[in-house]
Amino acid sequence: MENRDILNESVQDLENSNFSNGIVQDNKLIFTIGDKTYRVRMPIQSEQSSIDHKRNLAQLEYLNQEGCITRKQLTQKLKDLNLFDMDKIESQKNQLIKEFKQAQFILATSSNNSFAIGECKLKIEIIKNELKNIAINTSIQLAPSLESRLEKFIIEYTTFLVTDIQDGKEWKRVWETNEEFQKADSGLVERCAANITWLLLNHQG
Amino acid sequence: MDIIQQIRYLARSAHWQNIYNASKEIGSVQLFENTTNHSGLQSLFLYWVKVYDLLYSELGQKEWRYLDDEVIKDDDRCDAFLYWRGLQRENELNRYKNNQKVNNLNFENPGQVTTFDVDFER
Repeated sequence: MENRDILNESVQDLENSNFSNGIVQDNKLIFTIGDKTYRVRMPIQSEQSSIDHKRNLAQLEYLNQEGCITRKQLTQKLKDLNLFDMDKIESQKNQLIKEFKQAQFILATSSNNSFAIGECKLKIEIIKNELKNIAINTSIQLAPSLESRLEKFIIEYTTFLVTDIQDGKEWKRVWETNEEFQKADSGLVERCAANITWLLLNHQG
Repeated sequence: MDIIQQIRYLARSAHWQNIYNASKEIGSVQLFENTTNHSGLQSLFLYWVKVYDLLYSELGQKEWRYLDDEVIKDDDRCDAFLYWRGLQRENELNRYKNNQKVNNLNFENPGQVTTFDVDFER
């Protein structure tokens, strides 16, 4: 499966998830795959220390690898090779945000005009999708960079630590060892990683 | 329905609005099981509960011509209204600041004013 497809699937998966009152009552996200119930939770302090430590080790390891490139260097290289122009993408994004605000203004002042409301809502939806595609495309293009690889590493390692499976009334860790995690079904890991990403992004630091 | 939609749906519901308002007056009524260390999702929920509480109270006072029940129920229209409301508030604030500036100018003979009459030292 292409990177883009995996990302699109994960985003769609989150968009379509039917979350209950539970999401506002604690720090965990519960989801089901097939007939099994899983949850991801925020790492506790000792787990967070372990994540930070592993991240530092991974950074040193990546830096010593051949072809290690930072996000800034990669952006410049992609621009020089005419493959991906970040500045152009930024201005495209700014233009879309401007159009988004205009559509919002019209929508806000279009009460009692159901045709205008429908048109504006459609335009807003299109712009939102374009912005989402830009974000996905940018993330794919910058994936080989050191920063993106470290982000991926952190998400995967956090997923390994904080994913639980429901066993009767109890919650147990899905993977006890890193070896088990490495051998795990990639579909399950992708789903868990998507959920933990969402949880981390929405956590107040 | 995505998470944000779900959170907003719950936040504007009569059930959670009532609990939120009751929790302001009665200490024993609380929204969550935990009283501290709120997660991002809980903070997000609190944010939207407050926003909808404000919107319902402004709707009750008929403060805005473009605010009605349908706007509150529709996330896109509600976002658009909040954006427009923000612009109106910003304009009001700028108008107030400009008025303040004019009022702070000191004229010797109000009614017969030239630029030479303005005391820029104040």
